[in-house]
Amino acid sequence: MSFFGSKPVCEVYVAFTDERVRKKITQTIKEQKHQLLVFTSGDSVGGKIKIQVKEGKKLEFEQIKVEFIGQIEVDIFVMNKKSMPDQGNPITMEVGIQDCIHIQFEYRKSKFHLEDVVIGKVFYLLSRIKLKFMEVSVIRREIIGKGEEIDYHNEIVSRFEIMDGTPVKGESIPIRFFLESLDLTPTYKKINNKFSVRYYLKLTLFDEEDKKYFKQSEIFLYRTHFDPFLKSNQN
Amino acid sequence: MSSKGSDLTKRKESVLTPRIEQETLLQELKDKIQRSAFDMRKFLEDEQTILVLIKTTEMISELRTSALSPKNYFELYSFLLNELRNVESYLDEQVKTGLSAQELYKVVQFTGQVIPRLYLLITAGSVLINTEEVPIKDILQDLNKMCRGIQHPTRGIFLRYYLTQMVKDKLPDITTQNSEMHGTVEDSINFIISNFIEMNKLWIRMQHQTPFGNLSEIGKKYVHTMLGKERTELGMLVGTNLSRLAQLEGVTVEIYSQNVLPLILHQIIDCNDKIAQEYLFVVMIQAFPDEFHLETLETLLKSLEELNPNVDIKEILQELMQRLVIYFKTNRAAENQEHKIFTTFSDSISRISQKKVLKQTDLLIILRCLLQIGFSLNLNRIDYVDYVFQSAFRLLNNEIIKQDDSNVVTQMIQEVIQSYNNVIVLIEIESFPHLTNLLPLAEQRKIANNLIENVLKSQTIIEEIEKLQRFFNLIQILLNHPINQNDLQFDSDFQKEQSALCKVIHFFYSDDIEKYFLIFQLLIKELNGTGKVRMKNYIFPLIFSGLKLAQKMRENERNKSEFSISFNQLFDSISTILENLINFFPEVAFKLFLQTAQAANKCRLEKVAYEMMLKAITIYGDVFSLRETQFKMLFSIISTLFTLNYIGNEYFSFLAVQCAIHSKKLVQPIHQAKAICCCSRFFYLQDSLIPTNSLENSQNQKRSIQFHDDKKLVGCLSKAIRIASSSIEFPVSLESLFEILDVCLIFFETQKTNINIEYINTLIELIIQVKEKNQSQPQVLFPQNSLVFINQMIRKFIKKKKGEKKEIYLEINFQKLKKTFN
Repeated sequence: MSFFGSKPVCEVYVAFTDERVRKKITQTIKEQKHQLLVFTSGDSVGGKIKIQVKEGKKLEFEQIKVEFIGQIEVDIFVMNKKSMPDQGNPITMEVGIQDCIHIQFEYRKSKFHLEDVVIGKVFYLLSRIKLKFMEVSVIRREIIGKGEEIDYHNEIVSRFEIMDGTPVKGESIPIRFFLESLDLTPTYKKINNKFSVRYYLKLTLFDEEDKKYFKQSEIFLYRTHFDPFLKSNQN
Repeated sequence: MSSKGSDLTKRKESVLTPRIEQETLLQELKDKIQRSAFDMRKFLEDEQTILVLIKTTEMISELRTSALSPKNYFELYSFLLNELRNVESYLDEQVKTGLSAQELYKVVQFTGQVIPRLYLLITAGSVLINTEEVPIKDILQDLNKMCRGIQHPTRGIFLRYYLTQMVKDKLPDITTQNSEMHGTVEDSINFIISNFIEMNKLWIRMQHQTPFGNLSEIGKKYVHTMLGKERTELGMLVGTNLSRLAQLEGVTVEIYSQNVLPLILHQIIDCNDKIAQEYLFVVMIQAFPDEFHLETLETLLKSLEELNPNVDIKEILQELMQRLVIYFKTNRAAENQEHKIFTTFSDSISRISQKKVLKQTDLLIILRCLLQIGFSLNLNRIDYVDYVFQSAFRLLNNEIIKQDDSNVVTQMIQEVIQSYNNVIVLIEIESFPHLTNLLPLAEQRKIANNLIENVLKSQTIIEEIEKLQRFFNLIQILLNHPINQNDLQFDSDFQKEQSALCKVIHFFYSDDIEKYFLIFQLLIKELNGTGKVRMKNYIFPLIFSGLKLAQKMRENERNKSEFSISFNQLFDSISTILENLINFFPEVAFKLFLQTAQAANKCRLEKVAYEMMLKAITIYGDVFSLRETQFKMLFSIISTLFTLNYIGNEYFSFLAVQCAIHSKKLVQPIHQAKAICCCSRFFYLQDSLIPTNSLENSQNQKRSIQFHDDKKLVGCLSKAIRIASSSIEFPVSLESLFEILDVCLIFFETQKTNINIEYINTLIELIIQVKEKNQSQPQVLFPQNSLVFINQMIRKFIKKKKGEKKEIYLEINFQKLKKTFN
């Protein structure tokens, strides 16, 4: 651990009281797998912090402050279980390109828990282009920092093909999409004003000339329970 | 919505890849499936469900291809289907041993690609139905809805075909248990119909979503044709829904007419696609029972009028009508229904015809079907036939231009003839001749011949003059079509047709004299004046008809004192006909005059018979006296004269003398001798002495007039002997003399003529002389026969010697005669 940008003068070790018995989760961070401890809101966090000053160095301090900053710098994994929020308003939108294609899509709600199902439909009001297929992808957007140091990180979590071929006017294509099949976290907005994780559903139409037509809509994800069995990415 | 180019996904889109390329590609895809299937089966044995699903997904992914023609895609699909069935039964087993079917139904939906996902979903759905955990109705609805994810025509149709195949045996029917889980037959109906609608939409879309690229017009046209062909191949898959629907026992005629048919028709009409409308209508007609169609006939026919104008309504109507025809053969329509069914059809056809969307030939074909419907409903309704014929006549607008049209009309008329097999009925059809007259000559002849054949086969006797007139109207063509004289002998059809026509005339008569006379007059009117080629044939039946009438009149004379016609009138008519013929066919006229003479004699018409004989003799004198056949002809006259027992002596004498005169004029002496010898018998004519061969047709007839002219008798015999002995060469002369001797002995026996013992013995002496004079001739073959003749004669006389008047035979010099020839 380094402070103030200078060479570290000490090593800091954190040991949690119930480290051995606490639930763990494997998380891939920067292409490396890490075993992380799972805490949920309401859990008391206890343990020891060991500060070892390097030989020949001196460390002076007035107090030691322990702070959770929600940044992946500490070797724990936080899963926050929230009470069921409202389902959010349905997402309905009419989009199109004049005289070319016109669709109306609908996701029944905008807030989903992590094992939830995205249900909706795409209604073709006008279809004059030859489409090859249509998909719904889930985009994760991480925003770190603030002000000028802000850093965006976009990632396509999953692509889910919902339609094959070209529909005609009047066709309604169902969307049913199980979030549990994906590796998702809840949405976090401005944690300590430094860190956000946002999710979007991106509806994309691919035409025969490999042109894409898309529309992104933000959804709000939350966690209601832990059920390791259902998590596809758990051991 | 934003748009930008992307090369993320490359999928081949080509409709018409060359055949070879297609085959290679198909094989490649099959190989891929095979490889995945190999792994899949391994996991299947190890019961590693997740891995089985992953491999199955891999296999199904091959169905994402766009490069195969529907036919090859079908092959790929079928290839895959076998594997999918294995997966299904595996999953079924797994569910029985603990795997949650509902969980499975969910997990398969995690699949990212839509095609594998939906195939898996259907498979899992099928497994889920078996568990009876979820109402089948909900599962079917969900599957149906999710399948909308495939909007590509071919792939979508096959996916939905898979759906129908998988749930086929699981659909609820009235026979299955009725509960919330099992569902009801209505659930099945709704499911099938909505699947049908979706498949049909996809099917139609094929036509419009094909990339033509930069094809030329010809190229586009070709692609269009090929597409039509490919589409037709897929129609079967769409039609499967209708067949399955028809198999549901719960689809009763009520449910069909109220719930099912309106939905199907709505879909078929609404899609406005030629190929789909044609195909599906026919499938519908074939799939559902005929009773259903009868129940909904009006709706069905009305809906035809709403189809796309390019649809071949003819094919559809034909299918429906032909099926019903077969149906009516075993299931008679209720009497009160018959007419309604016919008019429903006829009204519909009339409306279709007014719209002028169908070709004339097609309309005729439909009318032909209507005709068959009429037959199958009630053969007695001639008005149905008349209606059809009239409609056809109006449609053709007084002329037939196309060969096709004439073929259909001919078939139609032939069918009517065969169906009724009764001319009496056929002639009642007013419009029959009108329609027939529009046909080409050859066809008209064929039909007329058929009618004639029919009369001959059924032996129908026509005795009403109105009917006969109608009949003649129908066969008029045979009496007046142009004949190519040069081809006559090659035209065996003509000969056959004319000979049949001759035969048929014999069926026109009546026991009622008045009617018969009208018939005879009509025959004269129709036949006389048809030209000599035809008359040569008709004359015999025509004259015989008259003679038969005469005979009937004679038979009825006693019962009915007066007829409106007289014998004389009748024979006048006959005579007139014959006289007109003399110049063309003297031989025929000659024979028929003789026949007529005999007939007149039977009617005791002395003068008529005499005149007919005179006519025959005149023809002989004018025409035949110089021909080789003269002897035969003269003998016809002679033998006829023997039978005319009502001719008085004055006339008879004249005719007999005429015969004798002509006998002397014969060319060959042997004939002269024979004929004169025969004529001698006219001059002592008693019943017992009429030559037997002339009595053939005159049994029970006694000659009422006895005739005897001894001078002419002796004159004839002496002339005959003279010719035989002086003009005929030996040994024929002997034969002739023996014949004369034989005749002389007949007269001798009567003892009433001048042929006495001296005359006989002189003749015997003459025979002996002739014999002895020619004794030296070595080549004599004759005496053997003579001896037989003599012996016969002697035996006959020895027998008679024992009877009455035996003394007269004793003096005949038989012994000497016998000795000479021994």
